[in-house]
Amino acid sequence: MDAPSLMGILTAISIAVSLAIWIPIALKVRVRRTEVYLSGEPQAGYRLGITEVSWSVRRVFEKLYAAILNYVQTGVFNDWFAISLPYLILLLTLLTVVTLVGGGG
Amino acid sequence: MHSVSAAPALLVAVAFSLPLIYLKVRSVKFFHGVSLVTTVSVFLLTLHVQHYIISRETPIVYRMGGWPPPLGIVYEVDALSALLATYTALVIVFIVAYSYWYLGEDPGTPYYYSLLLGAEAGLLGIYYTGDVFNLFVMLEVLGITCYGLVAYYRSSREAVEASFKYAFFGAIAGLLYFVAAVTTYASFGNLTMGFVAAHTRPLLRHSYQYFYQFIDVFTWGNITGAVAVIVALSLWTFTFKAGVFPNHFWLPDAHPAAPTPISAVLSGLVVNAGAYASIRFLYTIFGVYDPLSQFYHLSPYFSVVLSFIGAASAVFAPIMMLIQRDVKRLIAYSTIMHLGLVFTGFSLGTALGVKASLYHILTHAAGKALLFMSAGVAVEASKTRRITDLKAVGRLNPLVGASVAISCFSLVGLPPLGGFFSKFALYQAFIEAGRFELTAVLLISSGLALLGYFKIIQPILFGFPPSDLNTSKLRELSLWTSLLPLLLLLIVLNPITVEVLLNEAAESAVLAGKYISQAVESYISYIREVQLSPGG
Repeated sequence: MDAPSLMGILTAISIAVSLAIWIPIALKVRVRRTEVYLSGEPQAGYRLGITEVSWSVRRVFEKLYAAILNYVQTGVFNDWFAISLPYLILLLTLLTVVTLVGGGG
Repeated sequence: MHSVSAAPALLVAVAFSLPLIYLKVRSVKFFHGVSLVTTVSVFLLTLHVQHYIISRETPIVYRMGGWPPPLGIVYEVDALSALLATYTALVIVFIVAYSYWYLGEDPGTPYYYSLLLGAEAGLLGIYYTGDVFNLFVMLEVLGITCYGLVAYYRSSREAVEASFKYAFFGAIAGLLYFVAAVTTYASFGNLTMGFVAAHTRPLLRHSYQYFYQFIDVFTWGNITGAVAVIVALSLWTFTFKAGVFPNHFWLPDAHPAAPTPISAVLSGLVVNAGAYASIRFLYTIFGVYDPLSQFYHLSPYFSVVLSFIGAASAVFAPIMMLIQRDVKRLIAYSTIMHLGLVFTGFSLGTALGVKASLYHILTHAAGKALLFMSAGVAVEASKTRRITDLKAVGRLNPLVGASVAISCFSLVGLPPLGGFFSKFALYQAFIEAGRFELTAVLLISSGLALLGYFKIIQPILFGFPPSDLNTSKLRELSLWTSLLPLLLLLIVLNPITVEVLLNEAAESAVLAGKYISQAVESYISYIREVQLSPGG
């Protein structure tokens, strides 16, 4: 067997083994919810107070706040990547398609 | 040495010297003095460069080591980059004056200034460079110094965690931009911004036939396919640096954890580098909004993407401001909002939009630096960042109270402060472009932010004054010399004073002709010099 073929086979095996290990793990992992993280706000003690100026706005958007706090600004790397990575993929896909299909050049 | 390169070179030299000098000189005041003199000198140099460019009405091309583009790295400074560099240097002077008040006899001062001057060198390098790869280097210089500054209080677990997050994502952003730079080189065959811009404008070939016969030798790739990848990767990186949604996540952690003067640098100045680089890439280099560019057909898509990013930041961030309990974290979210507004401005693709964005960058930088520094006085006096526990320092020192109030009012956009005029310019630009939904975003975000800013104003101006405060510290000259000029700056940043500068800067961003021709002329003049020399 020549060197390029051997390299191709070994690469294919390593990718297959990696996928075999990674896919079951990826299927098990779920987004975690964190209550407190060091450089963030301690979110567990969040209360609405009528004395605060923003009280009415906070009352109206309470569910939105809860969603943002629990799922967007959690302080966990994975959660950030869950938003940031699709943004990168979207940018790459959109620009590649419109540049090539749109007839640039 | 030309003054274009003198400013970054001086900063780098002093930044590296300070820790070495500290081995012999133990007086902390010496380092405060050296840093202040250095930043004032750098401001004068940047001012000289700006004056030179405005009077000549053409950009400057400075060849590093005499090597011409595309073989060597060049600094190419136009009215846009000169304006931002000068303004950055000016604000940093006041921040250094505030650092003297804030740090006092802190033994880490030499290292602090070493990193701060390094960050300023990175910022000026970003604004001045005319080379795609050198921009990567300068982004890294800025990033690495900022990671260190965020972790300045290294015994604080919070600061170390915030710095680690910032550094981790900064490394990813740097890597993506590096791939973009490699792709640029692989397709365009060079990394000089002016040359890459020339390649994207096929109509210019008639004007520069002499140039293209040389430069076409370097081009070996498919630039049409490559530009999509380059712009996507760079825009992701620049939105990370600017801290706009959805790449904002590091900012509310990193900015509050840093020492207060550094929070002012990060929120007022560092984020602007991302906005500037986006404008430079989209307008000057790839000409997405330039009818002469072969990528002009991308402009509607970029308008949608950029205005969505900007609008999402401008609405999301003030909502987050309302629920913060940490004063510095609240101000950090306000930065996300304002950078979002800046992005909506230049998403329009018009000269008025770019001008409004630049104007908002200026007023936001002064307002945000002043707000961080004045609120920082209350944090120091109260020994907490919790908003409800802040003491009414504004009642003891009218300057601090006025600084908090006026900076908040300017950021909200109340007349006759600078923030009002910049938001009014944004409003005009949206109306002119027929983007009425963005005017709604601007008004909603300002209204929500007003509620957030009241959370800061209320305890500092109308709360309980501190009983055990050393009031002599509030009367120190360094506090007055740092807050008062920024306060006055917010008042004088009106269209009468900055209109001409903003018009020049916006014109040089939208019309890339002069930027391209100066880079090309630099190359042609070198070729002629070589041909005329005895050995040529």
